[in-house]
Amino acid sequence: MLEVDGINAFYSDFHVLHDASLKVNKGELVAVAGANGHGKSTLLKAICGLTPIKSGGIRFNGSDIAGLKAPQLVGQGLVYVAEDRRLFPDMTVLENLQLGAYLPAARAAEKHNLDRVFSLYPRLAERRNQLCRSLSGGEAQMVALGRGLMSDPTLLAIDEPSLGLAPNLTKTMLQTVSQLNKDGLTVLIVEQSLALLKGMIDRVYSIEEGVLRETDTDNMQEVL
Amino acid sequence: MTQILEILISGITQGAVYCVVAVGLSLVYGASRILNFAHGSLYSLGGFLAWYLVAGGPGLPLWLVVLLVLPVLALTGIGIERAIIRPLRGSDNWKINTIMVTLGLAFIIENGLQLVFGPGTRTIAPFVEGSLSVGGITITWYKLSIFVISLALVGALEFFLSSTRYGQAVRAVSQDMQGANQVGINVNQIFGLTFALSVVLTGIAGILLAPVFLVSPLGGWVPFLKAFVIVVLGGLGSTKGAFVAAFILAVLEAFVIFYIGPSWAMPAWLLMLIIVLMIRPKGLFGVWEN
Ligand SMILES: Nc1ncnc2c1ncn2[C@@H]1O[C@H](COP(=O)(O)OP(=O)(O)OP(=O)(O)O)[C@@H](O)[C@H]1O
Ligand SMILES: [Mg+2]
Repeated sequence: MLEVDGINAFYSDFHVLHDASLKVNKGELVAVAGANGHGKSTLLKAICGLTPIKSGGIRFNGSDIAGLKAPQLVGQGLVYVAEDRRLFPDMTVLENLQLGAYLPAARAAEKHNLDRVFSLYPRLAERRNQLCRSLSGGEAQMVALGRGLMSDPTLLAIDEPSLGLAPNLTKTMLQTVSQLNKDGLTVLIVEQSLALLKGMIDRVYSIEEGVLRETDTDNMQEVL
Repeated sequence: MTQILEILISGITQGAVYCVVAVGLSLVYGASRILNFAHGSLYSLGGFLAWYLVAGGPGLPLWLVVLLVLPVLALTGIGIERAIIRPLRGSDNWKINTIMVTLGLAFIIENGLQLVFGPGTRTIAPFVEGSLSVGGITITWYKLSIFVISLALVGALEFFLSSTRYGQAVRAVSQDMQGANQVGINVNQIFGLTFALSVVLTGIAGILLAPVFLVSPLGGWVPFLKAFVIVVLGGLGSTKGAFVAAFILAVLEAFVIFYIGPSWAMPAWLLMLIIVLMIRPKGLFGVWEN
């Protein structure tokens, strides 16, 4: 479904991703694990058209998407959920979710997806008219994931959903992701620690100084 | 008492038009953090276009002129964004660069107007004559009409921002640009849209005020400065803030002009601005930090 082939990404002349390659098959939950500052977010942003790549290829559903920007990719079903949430703080929970369905394709499924998000997170239904700037960290992460789902993704790229969350909240969040995957959503997830993802992942890559390597899920503790 | 009421009403009617100019400036700032220094020159441009169509050549009625000029102003806004703002995006020092190019644009428009129409001032006859007298208070029908039109414009903008998809997208871009990208919003398109609306608003205000104040090539700097003070007082990027601030300052202005003298109007505005900023550095309704 997604094939990343030797991409290189830079911030000015700082080389972050070095010939990074990875593959995600339809229906899989694939993880990328690595420590702080090793290029995990850059990898997901580069795939999702939020930061440019200098060289290399990216294919999604068989077509070449390297160089396309996020607005075009969202329409194709490739959606990014940011580690820093990136909610619209002075808008309500409902407005944030509605904006997930901004593009025509997602708008057609808006009603259905909104019901889905609210049944996944009844708490968001209760707080639909609350401004996002006043949400707790856990609730904000629910909106971030919910907004991603509103875009009607076929592949959801989730960046460190555990960031800033208490361990029990992280656990619930990851269980939700796993459930979404079992229901048919393809997921590419990035985390620092794989401990909580154990048993959910199909395949795992490690990232170190911008170099990606596929690793055995059984040995993943050694990676960290 | 009647005197005071009359001054108050004069201030309120004036405030509504200031508000139109100010929300236009605020809209662009909110979405793109660009302070458009050509905003006042575009106000003059609206006034001159209308003057030409009404009094200069074709001799059309003012209401028709407003309808004709509307799309011209919108396209001018889109053109400005496309031609001089977008190429700068992502450049280093983009903020300073946008100040320089919009300032340059202001000079180009002013000199263009001067070249075409000459340096003199112009005026347009109001589209309604006469005035309304109630309980000893007199107000011209024209001032009353531009008050209503201005409120309608600001109300329409508020409705657009709060209740439509594109309006939501404008607010999304202003609150988190990366977030907007993530949900598929074409940020360039939204910038173009805010410039179009902004130029329409300031241009229409220039037309509406042409019968009250005069139109002149350099006459846009006072409205620009006033809009700027309103926007800063209200809180940068806040439409609600601009609305409230416009009325506060216009009423203040009406009283100062009557009791102290017209030349004290601007100093009074600036004094008010300084006092409010000392108490609330983000302005009355400012929420965004940069
Ligand atoms: N916008 C930017 N400009 C310049 N350098 C950046 C930028 N964003 C990230 N970097 C640098 O690029 C490197 C990789 O950053 P990235 O955010 O991809 O890492 P990460 O693995 O996601 O880290 P974390 O676990 O902290 O989220 C880091 O050294 C970071 O400092
Ligand atoms: Mg990161």
